[in-house]
Amino acid sequence: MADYREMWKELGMDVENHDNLCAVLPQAIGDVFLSQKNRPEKMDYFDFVIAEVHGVRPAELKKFREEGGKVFGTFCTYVPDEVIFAGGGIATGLCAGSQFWVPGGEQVLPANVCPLIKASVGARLTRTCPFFRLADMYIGETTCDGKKKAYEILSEDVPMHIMDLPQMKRPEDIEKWAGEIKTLISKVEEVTGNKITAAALKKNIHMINEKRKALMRLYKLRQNPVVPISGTDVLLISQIAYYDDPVRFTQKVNELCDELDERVAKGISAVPEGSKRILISGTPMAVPNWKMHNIIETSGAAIVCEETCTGTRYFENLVDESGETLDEMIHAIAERYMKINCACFTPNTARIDDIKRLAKDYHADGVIDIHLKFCTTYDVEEYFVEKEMKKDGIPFLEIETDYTDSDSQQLKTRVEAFIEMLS
Amino acid sequence: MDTENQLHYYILFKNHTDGTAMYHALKTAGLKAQIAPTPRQLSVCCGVSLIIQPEEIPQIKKIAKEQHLDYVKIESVNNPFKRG
Repeated sequence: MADYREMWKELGMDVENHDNLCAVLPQAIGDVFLSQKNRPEKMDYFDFVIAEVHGVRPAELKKFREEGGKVFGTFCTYVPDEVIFAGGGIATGLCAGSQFWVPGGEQVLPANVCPLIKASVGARLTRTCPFFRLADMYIGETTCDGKKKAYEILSEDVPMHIMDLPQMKRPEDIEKWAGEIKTLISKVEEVTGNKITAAALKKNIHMINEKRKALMRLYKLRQNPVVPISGTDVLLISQIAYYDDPVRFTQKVNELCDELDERVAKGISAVPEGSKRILISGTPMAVPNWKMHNIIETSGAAIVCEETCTGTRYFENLVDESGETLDEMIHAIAERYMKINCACFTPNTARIDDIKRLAKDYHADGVIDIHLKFCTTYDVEEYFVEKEMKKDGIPFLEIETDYTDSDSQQLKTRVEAFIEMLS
Repeated sequence: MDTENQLHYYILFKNHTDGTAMYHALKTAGLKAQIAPTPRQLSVCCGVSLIIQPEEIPQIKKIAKEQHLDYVKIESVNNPFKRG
């Protein structure tokens, strides 16, 4: 049997405690993913990645570091991976989605901070995730207050670079964000020892754009009346997008899409006939947070789209590739990333427009807005989402939850009632 | 349907390279194989294994021998996958 314990020890992990997480993951994966019927064959790559989640990719990153490479951990879809890869580094997402890590975070953070932040801090401080051990530097960002202050605590344990994300989207804010990207470039150059050239940045803008296009292609297939792939499977793919090798990931998503094209042509559905079509909006669902997708898709519905950072906000809009100079490319990156409509911005009416557009494009029967507990920005913004959904006559359900199972039964009852109402 | 009992048959491997080699060989031969994390009952560490059909075990062993595909063992475990 594959034995990564030596590698984990070398990374300074608490192998004994980590084993408690390892013990439960296989059954969780079985219950959520392998219990599904009629999955596409080409989900096999993604099944492999999650089966080896703390093995294969960490081993690749370890080898990369041993050969002199630098790994940058990121927590947010606003951080431009293009820059990190252009500097010869590797970007890996570090958002944490398991209750396993929350108590570790609560040792240093107040309980009324969102579970994603607590789990991310806990994963580092308890030394129970190889990705958190492998990053040479973490890139944080000033999205919400919780993250801003949590990064101060993390900086006691790991080198951090913070990007100052603007609060608004005026022209001067886009200019400011371009400035932050220039600062990131300098930092990546300092850490990697590599100069980021225009050619390198252009090449990596293209690489990440290709990944976005592959995900766009995957999502478009879910607009079909016949749903060729479950939302649960697409969520897994979106989560893996944050840490897998970008070129390999893009290839595997396109291979999957080739199969899904055939499924659509033949009318092969991955979901039971009559499943209600649901658009999810809200806060990101970091791996291994599959809770709400599992509840919704075992309650008579199919999730056909996610307006989240583990969904459309990750890949919508490409970076304009027409620029030739570093300056042009930096501005193109800034323009693209400032189109992400996160609730940390004010105002954020464009997100409501996105939700309406996606509900129409994906033929959603209803919208479920899901946010993590103690997430003030998304919780407050829900007022506008609900108001606009009601105005447009789109059935709407709001859910606030965390990573525990304590509310699962109650949530299932609410979701089932909502889906029943859609019928 | 009995949700308390579901016997799964797993092929276990020393490493993921052996696992993926076997997976592709079985799929090419038209046999059923599902990539799955190795259940805790069968391993002290993580890693990938294959869920197979018990009636196909003789064919699997034949293919493994003919194509010199390494595996550790084939074992079954009662671990129902509970949906919902």
